[in-house]
Amino acid sequence: MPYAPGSPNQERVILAEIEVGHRIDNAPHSWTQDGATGAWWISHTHADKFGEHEGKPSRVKVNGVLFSEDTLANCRTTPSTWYWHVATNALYIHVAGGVDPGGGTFIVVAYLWRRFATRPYVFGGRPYLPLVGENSIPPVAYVTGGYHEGGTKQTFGAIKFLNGEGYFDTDLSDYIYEGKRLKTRIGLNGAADVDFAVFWDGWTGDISWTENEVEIAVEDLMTGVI
Amino acid sequence: MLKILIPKFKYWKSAPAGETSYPNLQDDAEGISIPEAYGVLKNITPICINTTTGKYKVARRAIKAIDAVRDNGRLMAPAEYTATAPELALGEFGILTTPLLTGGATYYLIIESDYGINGADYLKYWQDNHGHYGSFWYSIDSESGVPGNWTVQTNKNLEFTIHGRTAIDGANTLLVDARNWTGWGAGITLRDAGARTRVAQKFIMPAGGPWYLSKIRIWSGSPAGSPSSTRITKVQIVTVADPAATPAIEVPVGMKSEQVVNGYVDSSGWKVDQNPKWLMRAGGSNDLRVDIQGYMINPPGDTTLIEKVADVLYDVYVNLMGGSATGINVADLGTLRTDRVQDVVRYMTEEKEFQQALEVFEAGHLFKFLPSLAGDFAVKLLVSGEPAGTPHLTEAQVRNFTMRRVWSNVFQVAKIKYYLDSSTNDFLTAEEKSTIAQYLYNRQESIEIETALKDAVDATQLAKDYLGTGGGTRKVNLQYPTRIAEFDVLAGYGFDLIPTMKVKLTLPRADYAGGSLAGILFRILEVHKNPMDGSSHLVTVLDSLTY
Repeated sequence: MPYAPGSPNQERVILAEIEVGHRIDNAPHSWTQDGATGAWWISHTHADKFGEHEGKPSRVKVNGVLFSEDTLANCRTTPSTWYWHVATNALYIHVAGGVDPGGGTFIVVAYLWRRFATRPYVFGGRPYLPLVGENSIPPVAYVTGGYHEGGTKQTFGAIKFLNGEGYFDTDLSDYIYEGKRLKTRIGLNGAADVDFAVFWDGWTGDISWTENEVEIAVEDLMTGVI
Repeated sequence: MLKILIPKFKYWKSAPAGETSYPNLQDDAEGISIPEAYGVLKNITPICINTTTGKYKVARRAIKAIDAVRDNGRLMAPAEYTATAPELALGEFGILTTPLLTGGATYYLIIESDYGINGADYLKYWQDNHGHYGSFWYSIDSESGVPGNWTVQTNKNLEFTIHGRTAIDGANTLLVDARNWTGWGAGITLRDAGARTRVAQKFIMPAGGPWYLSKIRIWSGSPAGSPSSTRITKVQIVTVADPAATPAIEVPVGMKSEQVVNGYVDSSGWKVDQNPKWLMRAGGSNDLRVDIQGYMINPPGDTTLIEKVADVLYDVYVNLMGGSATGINVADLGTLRTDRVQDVVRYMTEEKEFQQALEVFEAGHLFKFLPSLAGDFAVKLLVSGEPAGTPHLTEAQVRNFTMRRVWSNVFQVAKIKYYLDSSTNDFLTAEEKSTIAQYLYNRQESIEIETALKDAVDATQLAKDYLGTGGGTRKVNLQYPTRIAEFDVLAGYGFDLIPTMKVKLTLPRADYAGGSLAGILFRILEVHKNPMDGSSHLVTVLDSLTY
């Protein structure tokens, strides 16, 4: 049962996930051709403030088109595919014509999820950084009208993230946070993953930085296509 | 997404990167949107993208068919335009080009027709028997007995005039005038015998030009007998009097030759029109209207016409806005496809936000398109009954319960606007009235709802659905006050709810028959969630009046 009420005194945990983008077609990134094939690879081992490697992308888009994850053998021969080499943390992609993805013709973006929570937490087997500010989650409004009135609309305000340790000082520059998918979940501390409920699914908007906190405005999912 | 402008592409003579240039575009089309076309569309105005070749465009992508083309209201014969597979694949068609004649040059006008030869029913043309214009008339396939042979007729001419323009949109000028009112006779016959299937007339263009041919006027006499009104008359212009000559120009004169010959036969008999119509111009100045069948599901594999709202929504989302094929919940889309089968027509000609088109589809087919919380967009239909998993809230979970009856939402008349004519910007309208709204609630207000519906029967049923006056399985029931219930729910409940979902309420006191609610369904209009204290606030509408 998603987010059953339980005891009013039981601690709630709020999780916030942002699918940030990493542009990897331009300097300082450079690509190496995989032999004489159409695949090119790049070391994809950028680390965050706490030394966490970004690892396997959640998705890869080239010029706005979603590429398909595939085997290395297929990536070598098939355009519009990518492959993640887990042993070397290398990302292989095959763009149209099998040319260098960094040649200036393409905008290549690898996506990865940044995970935050109101307390240190593990959800779905993945750690969540305790950077969601206490009492920083605004109310959510999700409103529609009659069938003839149109205009379904969600509003959410902004989420504040703790920045006292400077996590976002470089991360906001290393990655693209604006206009990216943001999901929030709510559940009781220690509850099973399935008992957490998604209560917001939308896009990030404006971002304000201070030494102590970063505030990310949240936009309705219907401001963009999925 | 809601603010993405559709259509995205425009007509340009010199296009920006990523768009197509049309160097010979009609002048007044620069910068206007290239339409997106869904359904069976009538009376749409094409844009001339090549005024030299007479190429017209009606949609950005491949269309299924050109059903009819009209020029100034005249239905053009299929032979007068082209709609080949390559042209349809580009949303285009062609018309025969405007003949361009060189100043001072000699040409030959050939007239032929296809009505049956029986020796009794045939056409006659006035002829000059005294050579006022010259000895310029030829019979072809005629007295010489040699098919295709041209035989000059001494001192004989057709009575005719030729008009032209120096610019395709320029003023008309009388260029050749072969009229002389002495010594004329109705002597030239066509298809009175097998040896007289074609006649020709030589003419010489005046100096200047070149001249865009705008009118050929040939005087004809009363026919013999009753020639068929369904014949097709063809006019060609060649540059040499040669039996083997390939016609240089085929003049698009259409059915019955009424654009060329001042006397003609139609279904009501012999007619004389002293002022034959101007010939259609290949450029942008024609008053063309076209009936088409728009986009297909997935050509060339699936050439089914897109005319169901689910397929239109998918095509707009994926192919116009670039969304993922799974961005709209696949199961929801399937339900929409099977439940909302009313045909759609939508010709998107002006930049409008996607939200405007979406709201028209929602209003006309009674569904809502909204984020689902499952990572995609949901499509929720107005349907009766209790969905599986509907939360049942009781006094233990509900606080601050209030109800309202919204009298101002009552309407006596529902007007459904459907089948938009893109050329006139006029809708057709279906209408339904409610005596309950008038006599029980003293309301005589009207509500007007724009839809993309194609057919009157669907629009009429929708008007009844909106008022709740009869037939159908869907009811919005605007003939009654809307019954709103608004309440808070305790921590946790409500966080996984979205508008259009339903909740069931059991409460000891309420504005309801019997004074209480016992498992009564309400449909959610608004959810307000407060993650910090775990509470949520719901605004709902009584489901029995809105399914």
